[in-house]
Amino acid sequence: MFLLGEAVAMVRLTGISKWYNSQQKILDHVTLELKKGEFLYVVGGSGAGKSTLLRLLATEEAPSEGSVSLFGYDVSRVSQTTLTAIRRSIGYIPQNIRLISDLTVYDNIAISISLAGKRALSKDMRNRIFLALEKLGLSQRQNALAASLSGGEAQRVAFARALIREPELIIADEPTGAQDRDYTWSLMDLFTKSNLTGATVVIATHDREIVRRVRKRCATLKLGRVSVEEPLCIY
Amino acid sequence: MYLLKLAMRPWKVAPISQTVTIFAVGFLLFLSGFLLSLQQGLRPLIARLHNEQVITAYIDSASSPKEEERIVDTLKTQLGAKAQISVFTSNNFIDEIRNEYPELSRELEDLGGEVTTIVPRYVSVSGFLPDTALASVKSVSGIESAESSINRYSHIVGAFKTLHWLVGLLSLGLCFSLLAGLIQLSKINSFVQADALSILRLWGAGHLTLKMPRLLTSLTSGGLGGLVAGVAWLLAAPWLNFRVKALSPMFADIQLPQLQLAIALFLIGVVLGLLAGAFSGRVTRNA
Repeated sequence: MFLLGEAVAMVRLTGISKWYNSQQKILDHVTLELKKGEFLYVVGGSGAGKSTLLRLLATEEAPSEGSVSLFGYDVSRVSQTTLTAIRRSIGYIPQNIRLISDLTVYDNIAISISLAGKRALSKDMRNRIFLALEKLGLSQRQNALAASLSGGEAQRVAFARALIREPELIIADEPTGAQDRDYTWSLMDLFTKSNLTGATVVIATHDREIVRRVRKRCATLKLGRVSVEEPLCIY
Repeated sequence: MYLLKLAMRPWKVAPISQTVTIFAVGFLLFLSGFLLSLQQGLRPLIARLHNEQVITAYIDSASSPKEEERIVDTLKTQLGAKAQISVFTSNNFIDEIRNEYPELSRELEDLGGEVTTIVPRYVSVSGFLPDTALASVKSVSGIESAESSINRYSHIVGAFKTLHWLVGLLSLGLCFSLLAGLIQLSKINSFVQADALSILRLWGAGHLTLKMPRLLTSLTSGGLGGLVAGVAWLLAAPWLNFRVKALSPMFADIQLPQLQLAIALFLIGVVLGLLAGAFSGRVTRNA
């Protein structure tokens, strides 16, 4: 748990750029700031740089230029221990879902909890995992290997895995991309509830309907730059 | 538990190549063990050949029998209890040749007291003696001259010394290549775990957690290889003992250890496995 002062931003991106092998810039001098408890959509067309931006936020990659500051720490300058603590406070749902394929659905979630420093085998935690799986329509699949899940199921497991840790910062890349409409709204409902309980949420999406129905602040990316930033999105 | 599952992934993905590798590790460890035990066996043999000597010290012909006793006492004091000292008088010599050369022995006996000028009296000193023993013997008053057999086996000692360090070098080389091979294997196995480790890293897994699957996989490879080597050694040691002794009568005293070396081979396998895991470095995707 990070204690943030009023003036300290939960997320601060300062002039970040990203390129691979000296090729064209995928992100170009992006500057963004999020306070604790904010909800932000990162929207934009395909190839606009949304996923790259979220990977930088999740500390999966480092920017080629500029700085990423999370919980008040510049992640390029912190010790490995602090970086690990930062990662434990983040719930990240990547676009390519990435579950541990040879573990069961239950184990994938339980590991996430134990890595966050909580006791995954406690009765309370087990109940929470079962409730989360039930809510996401996965209670029958808890003992299935992650490799055997469909795209939509895997995405919901990734969702449960990220949110069950009660992270302070939720980063989700196209979290509803493989879901039917019913599950899409269930997931959005859970994001909103987490946000109401104090979590900061960043969602990358190109789904206009979600953005219009659950109206929040948004940043539109175009060719790696933030082209528009609105307090209430009309994407 | 999940770390153990991850550690066992390479076995799931490529069981045959893992098994072949284990046997290769076991065979190389077995060879190293054999060479090392041979090296250990050569050490006392070389020491024995180098230090075992017979010194023949000729007593001054003018010395009286009382002088003889004093000389023997002095030598015992100087060379210690390990030295076997015996005095050969003219009469002893005549007794020894009596059966083969009766005529000559009779002629010598007929000389009476003069025999001591023809047949020398000498003291024979034998055993594991230090390099300075000859000089000590020579320094005793009443000793006319002395000679040693110390250089009798010098060519064999030289050859065995060369064999000793060559065998040591070979076993060291084998252990080194084994470690390098295990490091490479650990790296290859890490690629099989890389996707899961990159996920664990993003969830906030610490340094030790990320290292654990690799360490466990390497430990398994090294430990099982050590086990193969240990069991093979227990089965083959009696036969190897026999073969080594058959090489030369000088190797008769060499005794290759059995159970101790089998346990040592297993432990060496475990240690090599752990070292390989520790030195193989991190392999994670998008790291």
